[in-house]
Amino acid sequence: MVKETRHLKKEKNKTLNQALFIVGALIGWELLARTGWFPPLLFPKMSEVFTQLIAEIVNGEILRRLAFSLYIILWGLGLAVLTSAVVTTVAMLSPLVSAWVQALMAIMHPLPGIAILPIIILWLGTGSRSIVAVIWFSSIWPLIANLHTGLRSVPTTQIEVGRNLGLKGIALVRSILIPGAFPYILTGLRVGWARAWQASVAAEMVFGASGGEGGLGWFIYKKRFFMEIPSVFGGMVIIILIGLLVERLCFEGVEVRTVRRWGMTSE
Amino acid sequence: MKQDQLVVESLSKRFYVGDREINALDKIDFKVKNGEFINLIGPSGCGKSTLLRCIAGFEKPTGGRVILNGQEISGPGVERMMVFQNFEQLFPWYTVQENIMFALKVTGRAVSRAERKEITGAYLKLVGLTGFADLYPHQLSGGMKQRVAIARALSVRPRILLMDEPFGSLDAMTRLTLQEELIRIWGETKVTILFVTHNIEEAIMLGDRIVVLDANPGRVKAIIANQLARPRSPEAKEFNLIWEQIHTLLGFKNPEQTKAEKNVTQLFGDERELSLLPHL
Amino acid sequence: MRKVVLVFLSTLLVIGGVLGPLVQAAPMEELKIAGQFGLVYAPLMVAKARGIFERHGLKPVWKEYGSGGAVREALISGEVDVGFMGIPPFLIGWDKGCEWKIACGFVIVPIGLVTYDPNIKSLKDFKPEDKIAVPSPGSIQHILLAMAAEKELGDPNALDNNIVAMAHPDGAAALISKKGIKAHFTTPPYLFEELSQPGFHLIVDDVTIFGHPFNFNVGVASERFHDRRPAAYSSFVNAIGEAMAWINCNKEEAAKLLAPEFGLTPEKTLTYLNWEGMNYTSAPYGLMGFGEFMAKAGYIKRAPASLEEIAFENVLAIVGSRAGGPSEIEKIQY
Repeated sequence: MVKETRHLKKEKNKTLNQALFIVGALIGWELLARTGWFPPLLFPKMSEVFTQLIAEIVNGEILRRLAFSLYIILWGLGLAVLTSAVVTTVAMLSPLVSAWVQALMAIMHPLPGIAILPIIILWLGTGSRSIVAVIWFSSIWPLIANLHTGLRSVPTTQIEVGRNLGLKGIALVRSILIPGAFPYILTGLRVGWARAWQASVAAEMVFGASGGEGGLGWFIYKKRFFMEIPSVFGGMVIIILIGLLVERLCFEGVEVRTVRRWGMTSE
Repeated sequence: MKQDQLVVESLSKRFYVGDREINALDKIDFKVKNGEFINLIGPSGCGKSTLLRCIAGFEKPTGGRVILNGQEISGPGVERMMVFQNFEQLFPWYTVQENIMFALKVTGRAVSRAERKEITGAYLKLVGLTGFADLYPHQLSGGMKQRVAIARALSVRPRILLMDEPFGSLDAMTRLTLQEELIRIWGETKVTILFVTHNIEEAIMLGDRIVVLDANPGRVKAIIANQLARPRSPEAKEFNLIWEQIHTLLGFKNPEQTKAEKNVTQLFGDERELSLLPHL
Repeated sequence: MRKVVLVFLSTLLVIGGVLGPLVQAAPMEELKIAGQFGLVYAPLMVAKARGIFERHGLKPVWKEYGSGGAVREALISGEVDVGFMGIPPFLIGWDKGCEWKIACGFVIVPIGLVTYDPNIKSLKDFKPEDKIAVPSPGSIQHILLAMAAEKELGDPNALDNNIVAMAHPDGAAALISKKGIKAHFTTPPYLFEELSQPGFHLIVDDVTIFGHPFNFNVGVASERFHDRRPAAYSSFVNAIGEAMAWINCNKEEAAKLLAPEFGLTPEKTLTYLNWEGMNYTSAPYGLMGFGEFMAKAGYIKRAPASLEEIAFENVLAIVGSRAGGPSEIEKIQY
């Protein structure tokens, strides 16, 4: 118990230090911007960024864009999860397909999703469908890789215990294989989410989605062309905040409640 | 008169490693009576684990059959619960209690949650783990993990408990404790146990009968009735007699003999080794 | 020891003092230009190929940027001295406080909204799901579309939700393959390419929307550059003028020079140079016309009150200020 509180205290100190550093960096930014050494149009004051951000939140635009981004990501990521589940299942059943998937993974994994955008535009046209496709492509490889490794990492003994208890087929997969592969599934989702988030913003910034239904990437893109630079930074702040929030609240929360509690981490 | 519960009939298992045919089990025959404690012992590679896995239904024999209570088995079944050597046999995402409750749930041995909880409590008590119900497997020692595995296997009320070197990875002290505990649990539950080991002392401490297997081809070399009174002690004279008997059956020499032959081995080491090569 | 070093150093200093000015005998003023590529930028490519800037005593440093937005940012950060952009992007920067002005007009080209859909004959025929590609938000094409939307549909933002931002080549490829977009607001040579496809037609063009021709791009210089290096500034303006004039007087030679750069045959290049509406000129056209509309539609906070606010004196001199009512040149600024 004593050890635990000490550990907690250490964690708290670390968080405090990090928060102090961030606040310091923001103040440093503000001071640097106030010196006037850099063109204020390109290097706005932090205070201006936050005032503008609040204005964008109040007028609802940034929240609408954010909602759209999340909606698109949910689609892309959801489809990627489904596809990876199907692909992994087929790969588990057939060693031939498994070899194909591994080859495909080796080729496609290093390719940033955004790099396929020109082809996606030719095939699917512009608009949300293409962004979903890019997100799907960006997140599917880490998902497949982790799911594949995860399912293989489930000890044979546990599968045999399940079979001994009369489980087979889907029931065996649901009650033994999926929880057994969960640490990997979680990592896959984490990497997949990060990649999906990056891909959505990048895709919209490279070709700009459509005006009516763009997400945060489009927001930044548009603000840049109208030279509303504080809003561009405001969009970035939102991207960072959402990234942190999802990581801290969703993934870390799930990790603490599952993988870490179960002692299934490698640490 | 107890009747035969498990009948292993001319059971064979062959497989190939590359081009080489391995005769893991060759026409194994033996019978197990209801409530008996049988040990299977043999040198490594004699197929004792394969035999157990064939009985459990995890592996299909190439010949012969296994009959339990008059019915030929064709696959894994809850009436033949296996306890593995591997500590990973517990599901890490469940607590001790949940591990057992899960088994009760999927086998349909207990319908209501309250009933499952009650049965779980009873079996945890049986293996001496009351109070550890809410711990996760990674928080347990190896010995405790094996106790949970035994409790989980017994909780679904199997006809026979198949134990594949369950204490093989434990330290000597824990091993002795668990052997005693197993005897007690066996006495309380009256379950039939088929216990694979490569440890002669363990076999003698536990079994009513000891099936000694030979390697390549895997055959039953002898079945030794172990009539030693319980509780057993390694100090007993009969213990040593059985020990020597198994020791010799397994192809080892008596200590004195070994000493004498050692000199010969040193003299003719090369030739002896050559003569052991299979004649192709 | 110390003495030796001292003597050595002072010798070096003396030599440097005598020889230094000799080495820099022909001072060339460095001019950092945001170079762009394409039919519109033919004068820049000609100037580069024929060493026109060098003849005007300038040492051009060419910097390439991927988009108009990047050119604008390069100008603001001082990475380049001069650059070229459409009047609307220039005004957006001016509105945000960029200290820059128009140094010269730069080419008049036909701009048009093209579609392959026979059912789309005017802006009224666009359905909500029909996408219209423009190079970027706030680009001249976007503003022209908004102007047209105000004229035809009564609301400058009526088609905002139909807009997709795509670089010219991507937009042209998408339109020609009929994937994703219904229409493309574009400039030569993409405009020519698209219109030569069977069934592709013009919905509306720039002159119809604006009322008369206007500079597609203008040369923009920072006030700092203009004020501190007047000689370099006027050399730049003169060099651009020379490049324009050379193209107009030597179209065939220009076509031969530019053809390999565009990957076209000289014949085709010549056709493009001679396409109706193409005008390589540095004269100011329509500099004020966009400001009022953009201010009204909310793209900028206020329109420039006079040409003086957005153009340097050489441009003001060309436009002039006729007593007793605007001259012909003054009129075409609105």
